[in-house]
Amino acid sequence: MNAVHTENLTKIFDNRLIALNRVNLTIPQGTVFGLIGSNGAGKTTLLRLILGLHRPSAGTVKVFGEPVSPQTARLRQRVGFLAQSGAFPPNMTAIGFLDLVGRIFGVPKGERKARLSALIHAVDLLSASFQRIETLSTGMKTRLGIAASLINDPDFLMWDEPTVGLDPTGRKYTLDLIRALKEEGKTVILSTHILPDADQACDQLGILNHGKLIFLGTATELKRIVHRNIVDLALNGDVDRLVHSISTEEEHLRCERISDEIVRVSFADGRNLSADLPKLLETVSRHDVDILSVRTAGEIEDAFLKHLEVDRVRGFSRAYEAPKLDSTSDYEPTDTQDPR
Amino acid sequence: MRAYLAILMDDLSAMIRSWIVWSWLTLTLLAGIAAVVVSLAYADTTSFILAWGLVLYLGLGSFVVIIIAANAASSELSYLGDALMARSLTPMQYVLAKLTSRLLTVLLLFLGVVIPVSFALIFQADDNDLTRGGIALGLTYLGLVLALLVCFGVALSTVIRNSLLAMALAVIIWYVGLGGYTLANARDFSPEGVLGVLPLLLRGQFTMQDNVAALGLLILMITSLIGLSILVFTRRDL
Repeated sequence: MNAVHTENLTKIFDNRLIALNRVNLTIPQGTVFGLIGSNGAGKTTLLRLILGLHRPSAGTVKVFGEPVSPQTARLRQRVGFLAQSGAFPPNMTAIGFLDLVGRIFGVPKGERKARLSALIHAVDLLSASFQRIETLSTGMKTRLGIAASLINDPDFLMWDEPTVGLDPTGRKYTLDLIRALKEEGKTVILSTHILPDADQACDQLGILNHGKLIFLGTATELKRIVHRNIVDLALNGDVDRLVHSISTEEEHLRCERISDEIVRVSFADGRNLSADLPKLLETVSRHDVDILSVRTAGEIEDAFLKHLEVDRVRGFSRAYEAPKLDSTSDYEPTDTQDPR
Repeated sequence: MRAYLAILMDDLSAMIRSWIVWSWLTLTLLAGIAAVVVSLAYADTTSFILAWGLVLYLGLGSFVVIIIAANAASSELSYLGDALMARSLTPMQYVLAKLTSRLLTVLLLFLGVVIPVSFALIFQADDNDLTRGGIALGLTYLGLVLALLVCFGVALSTVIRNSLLAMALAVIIWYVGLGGYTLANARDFSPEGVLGVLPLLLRGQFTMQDNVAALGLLILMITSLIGLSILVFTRRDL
């Protein structure tokens, strides 16, 4: 069964701001799904529509096969939600808020106390549990939100920026927790700006851009869009001379300086990177230039940016093509599942 | 039901901690004691003293009731969706819990002071003309008017995000309405009109047939406002 299924899901605020545009998305149960996108891309709106907090302007959304609405509290009983930016009642204490959430979910008193205690310990909020929420730091609020999302032992978790404000230990703990939840068979939607987190933790990724789902697939599929025969070298020394030398001497290489220290080297199509890279490093060392680091391009950030760029170019194309469209025909957006 | 009870209990405990509630309770208790003392010292009829007290309660208390009611939902809208509605809570349960809590607070504050004062007037005043039936009907009227005001305030708070704006709007509409009754010479609804009729009512000089329509209208307005609040809140994005 699918945890989430949306069809042409659209949300328009105040009849002018298109927050989501015909999003078709299916998330099977037991999947860790990463929702990535720039600020204002529509990630939080999508999560709120899935929860039934917002009403769709068009299209449908189903959770565990049932249509969602603000009235479907029974469905939300199976969902744990962590909101972005820690929206909490400011005057409540951390423990008071968790207790209220537990009571709303109908967790029996004895069980609630045990669960509260365990969660407060697990998210390391014991010392702050009787502090008013407005006095907590961003990281503490995030941890409180994580605890609140787990109090009902949900089958499906939706976490909006769960690593915001967390220190490296907290971030690692959160990613480990996501893996543990997956092992328990739970479905997780992880909405994040931190792309390496999504790369590490998620089975599937979706990129939202200006309300459109422009990519849907695995992290490996996402990275395919960036060429894998490119390396970025961080160098120290006479970099200009090196760039000139490589450009003139090595026919199969294209060299481009992208910052003071970084040089991007592209290998010609069909070349074998593992065979050519040692030769390149040897050439660099011959020019008496220190190599600080070698990084293959094609990281998730590059792939993400490339997808946004492709979508932007396609947007321009559509804008120029628009007048040529037959005015009687409905405009159909391109398939969101395959942007290429 | 459990989600409704959770929000109800949480809101009631917030009301118990509210300084506005305690300040108003203290003020009205002192005023009630003063009314009993006045009734001992003057030869006025107790029905007139109690009617004066009730009209004053309605006039000044309306402001407090608006403060209590008109921030019920609006003060929480900034985090309500993410923190509470995202759990297994429906908009209807939330609005009903808020209405119940604010109604209980306002009515307990009113009846908790006015009933003891009324009976103290009956037993201690030199010149008592109050009847139990008259007091019951008078308090029913006032209680329903206060309930109407609570429902009106809560309805506004479900529409307007800004608590201060919701309160200001409720105050303006309510007091302009009261002034409007006076200007329109609406005998039974203006403060003067109420002050003329209320002592008679408290003395027991009424028939239920005359009052059924007015009570029914108040109940209808309250029910309509509750329905409207739920309808508006259910349709909005949280």
